[in-house]
Parts: sequence; C-alpha cells; structure tokens
Amino acid sequence: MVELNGEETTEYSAHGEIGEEDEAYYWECPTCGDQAEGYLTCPTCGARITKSISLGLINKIAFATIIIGLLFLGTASFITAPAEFEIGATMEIHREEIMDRVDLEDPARVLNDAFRRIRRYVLYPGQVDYQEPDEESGDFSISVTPARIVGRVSEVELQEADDHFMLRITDGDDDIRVRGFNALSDFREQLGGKFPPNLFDRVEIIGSLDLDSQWGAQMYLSLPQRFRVIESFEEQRREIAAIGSADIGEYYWVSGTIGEISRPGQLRVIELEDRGVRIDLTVPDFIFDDLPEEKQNLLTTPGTTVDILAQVGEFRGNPQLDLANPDDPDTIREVQ
Amino acid sequence: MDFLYRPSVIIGYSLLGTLIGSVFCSIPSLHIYNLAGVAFVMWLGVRSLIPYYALAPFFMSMVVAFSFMNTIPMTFLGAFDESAGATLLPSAAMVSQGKGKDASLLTGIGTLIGALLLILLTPFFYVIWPYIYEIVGAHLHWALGVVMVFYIMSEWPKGAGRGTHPWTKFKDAWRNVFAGLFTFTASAMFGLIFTTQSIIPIEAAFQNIMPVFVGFFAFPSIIQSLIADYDVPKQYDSKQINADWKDFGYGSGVGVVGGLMAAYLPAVTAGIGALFAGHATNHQALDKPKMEDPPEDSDLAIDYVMPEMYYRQERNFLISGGVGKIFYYVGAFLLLFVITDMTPGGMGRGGLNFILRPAFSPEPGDYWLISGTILFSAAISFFMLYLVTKLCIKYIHNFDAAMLHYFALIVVTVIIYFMTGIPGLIITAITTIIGMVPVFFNCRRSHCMAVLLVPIALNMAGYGDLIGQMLGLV
Amino acid sequence: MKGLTHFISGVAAATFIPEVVRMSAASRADAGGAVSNSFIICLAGLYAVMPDTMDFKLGQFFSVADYQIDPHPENPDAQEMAETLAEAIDTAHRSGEEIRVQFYPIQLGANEWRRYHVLFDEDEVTIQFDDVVTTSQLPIPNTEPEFERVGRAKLKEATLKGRTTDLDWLNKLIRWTRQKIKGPDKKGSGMKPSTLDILSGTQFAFQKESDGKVYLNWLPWHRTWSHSYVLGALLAIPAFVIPFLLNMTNWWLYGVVSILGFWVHLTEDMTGHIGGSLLWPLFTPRTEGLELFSASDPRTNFSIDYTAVVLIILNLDYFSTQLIPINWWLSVLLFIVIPMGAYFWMIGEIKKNIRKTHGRSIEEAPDGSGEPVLD
Repeated sequence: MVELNGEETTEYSAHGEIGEEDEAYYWECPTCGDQAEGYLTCPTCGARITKSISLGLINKIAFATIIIGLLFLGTASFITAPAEFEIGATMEIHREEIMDRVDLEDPARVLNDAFRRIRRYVLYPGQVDYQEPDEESGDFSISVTPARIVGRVSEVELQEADDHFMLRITDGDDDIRVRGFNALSDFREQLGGKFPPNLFDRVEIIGSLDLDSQWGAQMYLSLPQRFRVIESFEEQRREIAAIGSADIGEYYWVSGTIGEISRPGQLRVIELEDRGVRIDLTVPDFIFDDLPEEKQNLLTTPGTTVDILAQVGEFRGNPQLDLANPDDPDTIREVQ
Repeated sequence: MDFLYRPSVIIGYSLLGTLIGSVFCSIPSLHIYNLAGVAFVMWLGVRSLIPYYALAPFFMSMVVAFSFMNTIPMTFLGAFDESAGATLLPSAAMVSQGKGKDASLLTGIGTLIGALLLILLTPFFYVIWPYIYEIVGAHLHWALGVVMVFYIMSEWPKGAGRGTHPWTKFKDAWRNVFAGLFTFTASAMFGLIFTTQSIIPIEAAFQNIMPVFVGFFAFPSIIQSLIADYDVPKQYDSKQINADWKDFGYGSGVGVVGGLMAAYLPAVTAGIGALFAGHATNHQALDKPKMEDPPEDSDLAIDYVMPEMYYRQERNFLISGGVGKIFYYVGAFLLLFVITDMTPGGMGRGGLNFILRPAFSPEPGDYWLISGTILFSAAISFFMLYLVTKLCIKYIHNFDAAMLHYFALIVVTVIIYFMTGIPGLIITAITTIIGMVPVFFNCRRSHCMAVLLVPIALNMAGYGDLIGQMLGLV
Repeated sequence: MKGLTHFISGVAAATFIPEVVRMSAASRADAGGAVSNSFIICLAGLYAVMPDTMDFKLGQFFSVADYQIDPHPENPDAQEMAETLAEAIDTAHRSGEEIRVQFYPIQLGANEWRRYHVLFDEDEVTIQFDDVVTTSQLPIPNTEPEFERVGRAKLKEATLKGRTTDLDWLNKLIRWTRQKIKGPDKKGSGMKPSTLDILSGTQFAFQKESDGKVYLNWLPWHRTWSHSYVLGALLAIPAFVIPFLLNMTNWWLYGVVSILGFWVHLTEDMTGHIGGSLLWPLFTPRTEGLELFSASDPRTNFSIDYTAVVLIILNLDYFSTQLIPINWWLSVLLFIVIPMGAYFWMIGEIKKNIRKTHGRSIEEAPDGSGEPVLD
C-alpha cells in the first residue's frame, strides 16, 4: 500500500498486496494535485511524487521554535541583565577581600576568594572575568560587565585635552570613581545638556565594574546610552529634627548652631543643634585642612549658627552629616 | 513582577524589529553592508526611543526577518539580488512550473534550519572559529586573491564550440568567458575609482554603496524581466513540500560551508560562497545514472535511469541557498558577539565592525540574548513568509508583472536619490551598464563583486595607494 | 579531479613552504618573513588550474574534427548519425590515419536540451535518443521522442577496442604500476557509452593500431600537451624571471610555487582514468591513468578539499601566527583523521542505502513514464 499523504516523508513501498495494486498505480501529485498515475515524476508539474513533507508538520516545528525562542530569549534577557551593585557593598568587598589581604596572602588565593564573592552578584557567570596575578607585581583584577550602580554625583572631573572624564558617585558613605576614557566628546555629543551631570544629581550607570588590587574599585563607562540622570538635584532645606535614616545619601541645606567639637582620630565631629535636636557633622582632617581659614574658624567656633550644604550619612545606625561640597566655599555660610 | 519588565521589553522590540525588517525585503539588492548602513541610519534616529539593552535584539530581528522575507521578491518578482544568485535558476524554473510555493517554502525552511544550525554551532563558534578567524585574518588579502583567481578561472566556456576552424569554434564557446572577464575587470576598475576617489575611508564607503549594488544587480534583473515580458503563471497551492528530510541534510551542509565563508570573508557574498561550497561538497555523482538493459519488448539499446540523487539537486540548491543566506546575513552579525580571550572585541569583519562600532559594543551574555532573538524572530519570520507566500500564489498571476517591475524601478530610483542624490544616480547608471553584460552574455553575475573584492584585497595588503597612483587616481 | 580540488590542493602545497607563508602574512602579523603582504600563494592556485584551463578554454578548439555530427534539433536522424560514425571508424581503419568525430549537444530552448547516447560495441555503434532534459540534467516528463529513437550501424571492416596496445615505455610503466596496485584490467573496459545532454559536446578519435584494431580514444584533446611536467616547468619561467627583474625578495620562490601548483594537478590527475602527456614535448603520447578513483568521485574530491583546507590553516598557523595550542599531530588527528573517518563512514551508509534501493528494482524509465515494477 502506498501512503502518499502521510504526516512525514513517505517512501514509496513496492510491497503492495494483491487487490491494492490499483491504489499503488494511481496517486495524486502532492504538489499540483493532478492524477500522476504510474509516474514517479508528475507529468503536470514535474514534482517528484514520492518526496513530500506535510506543511502541517513544518508549521508545528516552526511553532515549537517560537516557543523555544521565546523561552530562550526571555531567560537570556533575565539572566544577562546588568548585575546590581551597591556602592557601599562593593567598596566593602574590595576592602575586605582584596586590600586587607593582598599584601599578606598569596595573590591567587585572594583573587579566588574575591572572585567567588563577586560571582554571587551575577546570574550569568560569563559576566565576571578576571586577570590573573601578574608574575612580578602580583597585581590582579576582577571585572563585571555589565554592572549597574545608582548614586549621587559628588565630583565631576573633565580632562578636555585627553577626552577623559571622571565622576565620583556616592551613596552617602562610600563612593566609587566612574571613568570614561576617550569618551568625553562622545558623551557630550550624544547626551547634549545632560552631560556632564550636575553635582548631586542622582544617576544610573551601567558599565564595567573593575576591582583592581592596584587601582582600587572603579567603573568604566563607554556607552553614552548607559548613562542616565534619574533625578536632577534640586536644592532643598531640611530641619535637623526632620532628618531620619530614610534620608541617607541625600543632600540638604541644613542650619544649626555649632556645639561641642571632638576629635576622635583623624577627624573632627562637630555637633549642630537646632531647636533642641542635635546631629553630628564629621569633617575629616584632609578636608578640613583644605578649607579656607575663614571657614575653618567658622566651623570651630561654638555658638555660631551656620548654614551648610550637607550630605546625610550614617554612623552606627544614626544619621550624621558630611560636607557635601567643601571645594565650594559658598556651601558653608554663617547665618547672621 | 519587576523581573518581567526587561524580558518583555526585549521580546517586544524583537517582534517590532521582525516586522520592520520584513519591509526591507521590498528593497532589492541589499548587501549586508547596505543593511548595516540602513540600520545605522535608523539607529541614529531611534536611539533615544529604544532602551539600549533592546537595541541589539531589535536590529538582529530586523536582519533575521530580512533574510527570510527577501525570498519573496527573489522567488516571485525576479528581483534577484547578488546573493540570490545561488537560488536564482531553480526558483525561477519552479515558478514557471507553478511550484512557486514549493520554491519559496523550501528556501524558507532552509533559512529556518539555518537559524537553528547557527545556534547549534555555538560551541564551534567559541572553540574553533576564533582560531580560524585569527589565523586566516593574518592572511586575508591573499585568501581573497585566491577566491578571485578561482572565480575567474572556473568560468568555463558555455558554448558548444561549433565550427570547422579553431577560431570559429573558439568564438562560439568563449562568449561567456570574455563577458565574465570584461565584467570582472570593469567592476574592479570601477571599484578602485569608487573607493580611492571618495574622501571617506574605504570601510565607511560601504554605507554609500547601495547605488553600486542596485546598478550591478537589481536594475539589470528588472530590465531583463521587462525585456523578457514574462508573466507568472498560476501557482499550485500544495499541502506538501516536495522534498524529504534527507534533502535538508544534504542542503544544509552546502549552505553552512558557503554561508560561513561569506560571513567571514569580506566582500564574498552568499552567491560566491555557494559556488565554492557547491564545488567542494557536491555529492551528486555518488549515485551515477544507470545504463540498464532495456525492457524485453523494446527496441531500445539501453534504459537510462536517473538516480534520485539528481532529482535532489534543485531542492538542495534552494535549501542550501536558504541556509547560506541566513549564515551570511545573520551569522555575520552573530559573530560580532562571540567574545573569547582571543577575540575580545567579537569577530565581526572589517566593514561591518566599522559601521556598527558606535551602535553595538558586544558584551558577555549578549551572545545568548542574540541567539534567543534569532530563534524567536526566525520562527515568526517563517510564518510571515508562509502567509505572504500564500497571498502571492493566490494573486500573483493576476498582477501585471511589467507594472510591478516599473514600480520597483521607480521605488528604487527614489530611494537612491534620497540616500545619495544625483551622484548616486549617475553611479547607478554606470554600474547598470556593466551589470547588463552578464545578463546578455550569460556569464556569472557575481563577477560584479570585483567592485569590492579587488579594492579590499589590495587595501588589506597595503597596495591600495600604490595601485591608485599607478592608475592616476590619487 | 574537479577544478576546485586541483586549485585548493595547489594552494595547500604552497603553504608547506615556511618562507612562502611568512611572506604572505599581513605585515601587522609580524611573522618574521623578509617581506609581508605577498600574494604569492595565488600563483600556486593559478598554476594548479592552468592545465585544465588550457585544455577547456584553448586546446579543445584546436582539435578540429574530421566528422561533425550536429543533429537537427526537431527531427534528428539516429540512423544517419550512427552510419556517419561507423563510416568514420571504417575510414580510420582503411586509411590508418587518426580520425576525429565531434558530437554536438541539441539545445531546444533556454532550459531544454535533447539527451542522446553514443554506444560502442566491437563491431557496432548505436545512437539512442532520450527525452528532453533541463539544464540541471533532469528529464522533463512526457518528452520522449516521437521520431525514431535508435540508430544502429555495423562496422564494415573495423573492430573497436577501448584500450591502446601500442604503448611507449612511460605508458607501459604506468600500466604495470596500475596492475600491481589494482590487479589485471577488466576485460572490455574502456569502451564506455557517452551521454550528451547539456552545454558542450564530446569528441572521439579513432586510430588503427598495430594489432589491426581501431582504438577508441575519448576526448583526444584532453590531458595531452597541457598535462606535462615539462610544460609546467616551462610555463613557470615568467614566474622566475619577472620577480627577478623586479628585484623582489625571494624571487625564486615565485617560480617554485608555480611549478608546485602545476605539478600537483598532474599528479592528482594520474589517479584517474586518463593520465596525461607527462613529458610532452619529449614524449607526446597520452598515458593511461592509475584508475584509482573516477575524476568526479565526490568522495575523493570532498576529502581532498577538506583536508587541503585544514592543512592550509594548520600550516598558516605553524609558520606564522602560532596560535593553536596543541601538537601538530593532535591537530591532524582531531581535524583531519577523525572527521574524515566519520565522513567515510557516513558515505558508506548512504552508499549502502543507495544499493538497497536499486536492489528493490522499482525503477522508472528516465522519462518518468515507466511502469513501476512490483517485485
């Protein structure tokens, strides 16, 4: 019996039984539908009678491919999303796993431990790469591409001649440098007025996170499309009483009267008081020493009322203040 | 449900890209560099509209859809682009027999299988291909030279060589060989002028090359169709594909070899790749025609039986054309995203890299995103091809073919005018004249590819300026 | 062997010369050659297809036949054709001169050709017409001829034979070698029927030999003077002289590479059925081949093509880029021996399958009109 319209490829079989012979001789051409009689090549259209795959099967295969493709694409787009890094956690890993150990232990071992800890942040292992320790210096690095961080811009440095830029992004406590090599003009051109960002803008950055035993933790940014200002900084004033842990990382103008000043180590802790509520302003020595003398005096004279642009940070669970932009003398003012 | 946001955006843009890419199929004679060029121009327009992470899937799905849907004009409208050269004859022959649906779908299934093979070859792309890429990369100029030498030398006389004197025999047989040599030389000269006279670097010139390709390939096809004044006959709406699974096995092998060659070597198109792959992998002679004893009551001397292997050729040709096409168009893009220690910047080739560098910066993981896009978009495109094929076979015989061709002529001219202005139209006119030679003298149309092959090979070897000076071009 | 096979094995042979590879590397690859960016390897390819180019693009047109058989497209006369052929053979017998007969194809349309066969027996020649075929050599159904299909003509005086017996020392050497490899020649071999369908015609030469029989020589213009090691060396002279005059580094390598390409072609051709006039113009007769494989056998062609490509890549790496991290013998094993083993196994299975299908003896006539026979 010749089966010509089966689901799959049908091979002509000659083992017909008596009585079925007629069927074996007269069949329809699968292409044009004409009677092909005993021919193996259809006399009407030239198709080979014995070669046919049903379109239904082909469609099923294509449909299955859509489903597989959809699952594949969905999974791939989920797992290859940029790895989310918090600035604080990142700097902590770099400190604990690399900087604190690198001079004491075998670099390969340090690299291995740091690599394992970083890998927890990504779903797709290929996003983490590393550079083996250099034979002479022992320097190594781990990079995550793409990695995403969100924070506020605390410093902008443009090197026009080299076409480089550096942004410092902070979460209130820690900060990370974001560098763009040979990219400044490209960023300016493509982002227009949005680049470089204003100080204290909240930005999202997707790039390559590099934990280097020599150069520290940095991010490299090469594509303008991956830089986004989430929220432009608008100057806001907040009373000390209203500052809570939800404000950590934010910038406010804060007014207060200088109270007690202590020096626990390499910094000054200056107490600010407003309507009976107190908050600490910490000024590391290296920042304090760079301040103009007039501002130094202002901050170290108890009883003066000052108006400062401060960033809310945290110490043992309590909010505290840091000078937001000590380079700009206008951000530390005396209230008359 | 936050985690669903990114996947759904990507899937959405892949779908959109597939739909937009299908529209490109109405522009005949797109070369992969044109396609990248058009994509790049589009990208400049849409980069603020599309999130960065959806850009690569969007463009990839566009290319995937294009490689499927250009089967339609190739099969039914006779708008044969260069890469269609591989599938030109059988599909035209099948349409004239009313088997346009088979022709279109065989190519389409080939392309779908090609998409699957692209994904299945992932280990090969990561483990073996980087070595080939780097090793041959250091020898690319002469590799292109070798391709050209064989290409010219393997055009054999097509005439029967009738005559009683060597010269008459020679003249009768050599028409196509002469025409081939002329086309190759003229195209190469034109290519040298085109690339040296233009102030833009050679890679960037690819974006402006559309008028050249239209002149070499699209217009001669359209003019040929107009002269032939051929109307498409009524097509059969069959429920079956006239092929078996073995055909797909044979066809895929040829398609993969030719397609990889085209995806790797600059200016080598799927048509040229298919020629090499066809020569290297043709297994038709595995089963030779049999001369058997004739039936007893016959007065014949022999019974000449063609083996099934011969009947496969037409089908294999279409299937391998489909496979080769997607390797050429899509594979070239996919290789951009294969990042290994040896190839940290991916394995895109010269011109393509140059055009796309500002748009795509391949990163680890992108390969999987792109692979998923290819699968998804390929299957959707296949269904679109299926639907459009059904529409075509239903209505195409009602259309006045000449009108369609005049329409294509006008559309393409307008596109060229808007993209490149009057100089572009002049370039198209010149290249059309060269492109008509193969049409009238029956030699290989791919000889026109000398327009890129010769300048690229010379420039890679660093002789571009020298030759330019010798010809007085610089 | 096919053109591409010769071409690519010529290229592969050139890559075995380390200095050639180093010269060819791009300057940025810094392979340590005295020069770089050379196109020298293209010469190997060019010379490797040259023997066939000279034959098919040139030589065949100089072989003007004494008898031209160009059948009428609409109404060919098979009987008359057979008689003309028989007359030519008899003339060769009578005169002792070599007589050449040219057959032409029958083109009916852009994509339509009438197929016919020329069959030889010791004392008879037969012409048989079959149906119309497309340019892809596929028969078009319902096109079997309405005119008389078969013409037969007895040879009046001559007796045909398919193998020459007048052998010079070179041909004797080759025949002896072949019989050592393959055993004694099969009887009656050499008088194969010819089928004409698309594009080009075919030519036969008939020459009476010392045993009184007429030797049937198929394609007498093919693989004669063009397939000569001596000619290869002569043709390479410009490849020595021009680089020398241009004062190019390693000028002599250009000539060496050219000779290499040409000689690889001739050597490969010796594995087929027709050999070549290996030492032309010193000794002109064409030798037989070793008959190891037929020239169009896809298995040999494909395996040589594949192996050559892999060898090219391995050589390029070995002599210039040096990227492949494994031993050369492991590369050969992994990329040549194992894949080729798998290939030949697969082809073996396919061949088995093909034989099985034939065994079923359901066949149709070439026109697709045969009644299927049930066994």
